[in-house]
Amino acid sequence: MFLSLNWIKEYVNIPEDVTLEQLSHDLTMATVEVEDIIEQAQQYKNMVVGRIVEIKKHPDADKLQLAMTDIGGGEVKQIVCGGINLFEGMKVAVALPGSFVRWHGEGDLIELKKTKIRGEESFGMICASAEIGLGDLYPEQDDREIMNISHIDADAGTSLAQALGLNDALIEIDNKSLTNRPDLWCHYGIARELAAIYNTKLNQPKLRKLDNKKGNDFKINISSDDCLRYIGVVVENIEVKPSPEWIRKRLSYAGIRSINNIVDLTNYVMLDIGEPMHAFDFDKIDTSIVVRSANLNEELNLLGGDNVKLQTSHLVIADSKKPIALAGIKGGEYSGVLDSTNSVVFEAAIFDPISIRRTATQLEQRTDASMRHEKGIDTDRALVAMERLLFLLQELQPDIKIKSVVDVNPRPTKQNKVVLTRDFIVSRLGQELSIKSIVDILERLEFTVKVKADELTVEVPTWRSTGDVSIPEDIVEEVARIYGYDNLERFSPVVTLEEAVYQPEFERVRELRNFLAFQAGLHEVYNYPWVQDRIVTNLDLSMNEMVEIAHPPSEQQKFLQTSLVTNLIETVEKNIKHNDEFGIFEVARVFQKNKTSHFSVDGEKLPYQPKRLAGAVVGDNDEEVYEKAKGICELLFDKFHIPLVSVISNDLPKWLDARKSQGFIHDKELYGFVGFLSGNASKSFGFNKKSVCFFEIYLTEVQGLISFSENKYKPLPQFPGVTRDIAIEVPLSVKWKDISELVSDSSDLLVSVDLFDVYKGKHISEGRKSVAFRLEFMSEQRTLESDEIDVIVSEIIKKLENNFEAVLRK
Amino acid sequence: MKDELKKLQNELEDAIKAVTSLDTLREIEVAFFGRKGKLTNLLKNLKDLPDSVRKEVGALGNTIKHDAQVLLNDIKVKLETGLDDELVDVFDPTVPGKKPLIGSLHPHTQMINSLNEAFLSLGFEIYDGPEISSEAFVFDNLNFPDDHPAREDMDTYWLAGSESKKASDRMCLRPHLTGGSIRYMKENQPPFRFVYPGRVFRSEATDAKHEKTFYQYEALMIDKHMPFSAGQLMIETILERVFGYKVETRMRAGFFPFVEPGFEIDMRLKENITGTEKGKKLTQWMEIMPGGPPHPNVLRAAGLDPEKWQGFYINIGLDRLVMMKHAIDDVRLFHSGDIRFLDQF
Repeated sequence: MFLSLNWIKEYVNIPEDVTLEQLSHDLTMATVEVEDIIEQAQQYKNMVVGRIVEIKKHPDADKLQLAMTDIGGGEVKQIVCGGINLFEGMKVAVALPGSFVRWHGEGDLIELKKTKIRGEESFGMICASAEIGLGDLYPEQDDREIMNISHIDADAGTSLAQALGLNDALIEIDNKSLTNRPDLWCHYGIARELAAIYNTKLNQPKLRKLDNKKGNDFKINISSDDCLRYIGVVVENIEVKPSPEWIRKRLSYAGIRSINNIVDLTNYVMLDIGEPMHAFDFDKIDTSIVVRSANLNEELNLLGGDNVKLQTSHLVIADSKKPIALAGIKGGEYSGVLDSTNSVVFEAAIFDPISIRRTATQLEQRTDASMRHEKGIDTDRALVAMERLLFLLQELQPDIKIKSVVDVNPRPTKQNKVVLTRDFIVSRLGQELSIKSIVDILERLEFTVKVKADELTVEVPTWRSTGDVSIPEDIVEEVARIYGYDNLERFSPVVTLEEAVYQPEFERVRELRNFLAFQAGLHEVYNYPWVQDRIVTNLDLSMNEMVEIAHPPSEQQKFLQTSLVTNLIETVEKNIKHNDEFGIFEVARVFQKNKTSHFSVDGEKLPYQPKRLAGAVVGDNDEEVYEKAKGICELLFDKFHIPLVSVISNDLPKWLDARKSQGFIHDKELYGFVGFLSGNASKSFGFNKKSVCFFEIYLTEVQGLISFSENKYKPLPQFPGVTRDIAIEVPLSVKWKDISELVSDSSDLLVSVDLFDVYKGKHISEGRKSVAFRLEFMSEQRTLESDEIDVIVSEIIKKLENNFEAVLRK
Repeated sequence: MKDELKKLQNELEDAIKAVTSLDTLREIEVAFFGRKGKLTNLLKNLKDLPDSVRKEVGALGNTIKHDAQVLLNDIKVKLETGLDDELVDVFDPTVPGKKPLIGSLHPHTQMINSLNEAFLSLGFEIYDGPEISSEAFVFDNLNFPDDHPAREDMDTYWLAGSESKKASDRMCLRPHLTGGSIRYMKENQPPFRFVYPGRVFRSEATDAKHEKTFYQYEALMIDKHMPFSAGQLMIETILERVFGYKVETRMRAGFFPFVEPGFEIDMRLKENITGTEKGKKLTQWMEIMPGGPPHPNVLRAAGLDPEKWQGFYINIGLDRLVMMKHAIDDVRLFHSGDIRFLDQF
């Protein structure tokens, strides 16, 4: 919203030492956010009135001319111009080099420089009104025209701002910061606020007082609870014509285009007092106005040309036959005020804010009027607005005749009353404040306060009583913001001393992440919770176990992931283009429909949403990436005392290749897995023939398994151990698990069996592989003899030969 | 004898110049200074000299021996350590170091870690709530009236099948964290001091400044006496962590249904930080978070008596903080999963 500073100053005397910057700061701190203040003197700097002395053809462009322009001080400059309405002797707005214009009225402001256009020098630019922000005030018939200011009484060289009387400052306020303040959507409201902030006098708007009732040939009938007040005034002897310039100018600052003096006046009062008004041509409607719900499918042609089809929840203004306006939003075309209009019904009405908001949203008709109504205007404002309009109208047209006045006020706004104590305020502010200064602040805001000992009874003015101020905390806010948040004393809170916080589950997740990033060398990624349909399809995921979004981010992303792997697939696809070998991981929640979350309270049945930890390791060789991924998991289990072991499992997700994957289990329960996607699934993704091994650990469930008692020290060996390396050749189908189990069982002295190499290819027969491992023998009672170990080893080799067709490699 | 000594000195110097290995060096030592070495032998004759010259010749002999040994020792060190001039030329100390291959933590994780650490040191707990919540905890408990436009403005992702049922059944991906804090308060006993980091979801068109999934960091204190300035302490704790110095902040009037009074909290960075956001210079006041004491209706929803308990709440947009800290200009990078981006943090 843009406000005119001059307009505000009609209502409030801002102290002279308050600069624009200070004003902007004070209003921002106490009330609403000022986004910008535009001083017109700055905006129109380096722009002057020019007079065209001579027009020549541009030698190199058909549509351009060379305007020899007097820019004052005896200087005549050549300016290239494409305006189709140029004539010699015309007065124009010249933007000299160094000024800022908006090219064709669009885009960002651009600084003009002395330049050549198609080879001809141009000293600045002759402007169209839209190019210098005056499009609403001086509209052109054709967008190829330039602004004609020949009627302005000013010599060439006069500054444009001075010639056009542009001596205002426009204050831009962030509308979002006004949503709870219906009273501030107008100049008078902001002025009232400034008067409170600066503790200075507020001037009342000049009104033409109305007799409560006058005339009986005009009736108003309200048949809906959504209309809280309706004032209709019939005025005769009206002459419809263009508005005076000062009104047009002020409307243009708010971005409202001038229509005619009557329509303009209703808009002017809206910007002035904050109450949207409307004018109907009295001769187009019969003698009564009905405020009612629309009939189903009733149609209405709105001003501006839209046709809307109505529902019964929509509120309309109608005469006895048909709707003539969408209540509080927009007037109908049929009853609009035209040049020929003689008599007008002025409407100042208050409607239910929710009804207005819903209708405006449904019909896509959000207007300046609806925006104000939906914030909740108090019913008293309708009368002030009407009296203000009639005052202004009479100033412009002293001959008007007020024929009828009807005011129906079925649901007047009641003043809220709040009772609270000084202590209540002081304890929240953290600041001693006397009753006197509290009362002073509240009275500046036009609250009425009654004091009884330490207790204040505060009566809230009607314009703050429509939802804004109703509880003691609201009063605290009023006092604090006017006193100034900056002026409050600062001190640290005094809090109760409590036990030190101990939350191992958070610490652990933090350490897990550090481990994966800095020890395992994986990069942490953050993915969306939803998964692409193509992944759901390719993995053949069961959709009825998946949580679905009603209006999803895209039609192909309706489901939330049940495994983090689903989105890691996509992350792998993206990174494979730039990296040969890499690893990634993510810690996030997954969502499962068929189980209820422990977070559910108060009758909720939230879907199960446990945390998972998952990763992917990418490289050129299946064995390598598998060993790396599994190694990461196993080291993680060791370091974090997670009692999981990897085994062949039948419970793995179906989309894994069961022959190339293992589950992590404890007590027969599955807590995660490591392995590859099944062949078909894998082929459908853009893995570029790379080996991609995934792992996933069910973090929420695993947290319950971790116990600190596992972290016990083992005494160091007292006697030296003996090691033997063995390399055997076995058929490819022999699994390490079987070899290691067989070997482990062979002697009590054997303390470890560690695989260190698997090799296929050169020097190894077809269909066979070489498996090399290290045995370590140790005794707690004595130093072992080499001979006794040799015996054990040859027994082991014999067993391997018998069981696995093993051949010892030398 | 003096002449003999001088002759021996020349011989010794020539021999030293010719040293190329530890072996020849040792040979020289034996040949001159050994038990039967040339110098040793010569000096044995000292005692036969007259007193007048003995002292002078003796001193000369010692000097020769000492100087030669210093020279030999230098050569010995060079030969032993290989730091001979020629050898130094072969070794290239300018090659880059080989960094261990490590991964990376997402910049959000790093930010959350350092904020958590700061708050833990102030005795705060960490809370982590559900990402799918019911409408009751997303709007109803937070003093959003039934027809409050924010219910629609938030552009919430509702779950399929949760249309027109009661609030505890209408479920959505949470559009903000704030409702979760009520879950915490319902399950715990006041006073409270906790932080609540997490991701939230809104159905927005994505561009460099907007994401459908983004991150918030919430902090809440509830105690018997909690004036507004307590809020500023929390805010400054956060910002000092993020920017490494005390950041200037201010609280001004703002409106949010779940706090009363409501604050907009602004910050202003030091002058020397360059760059712009929304065309404004970074040294200007920038809106960074809403805050304020929880509205009495919110305290009631959490089972607390607003007459007895006061509080202060803040909620900061984590993405924006991280973007400012690292001068990142596109919020979408956070979900890109692109290692070329992630590896930079």
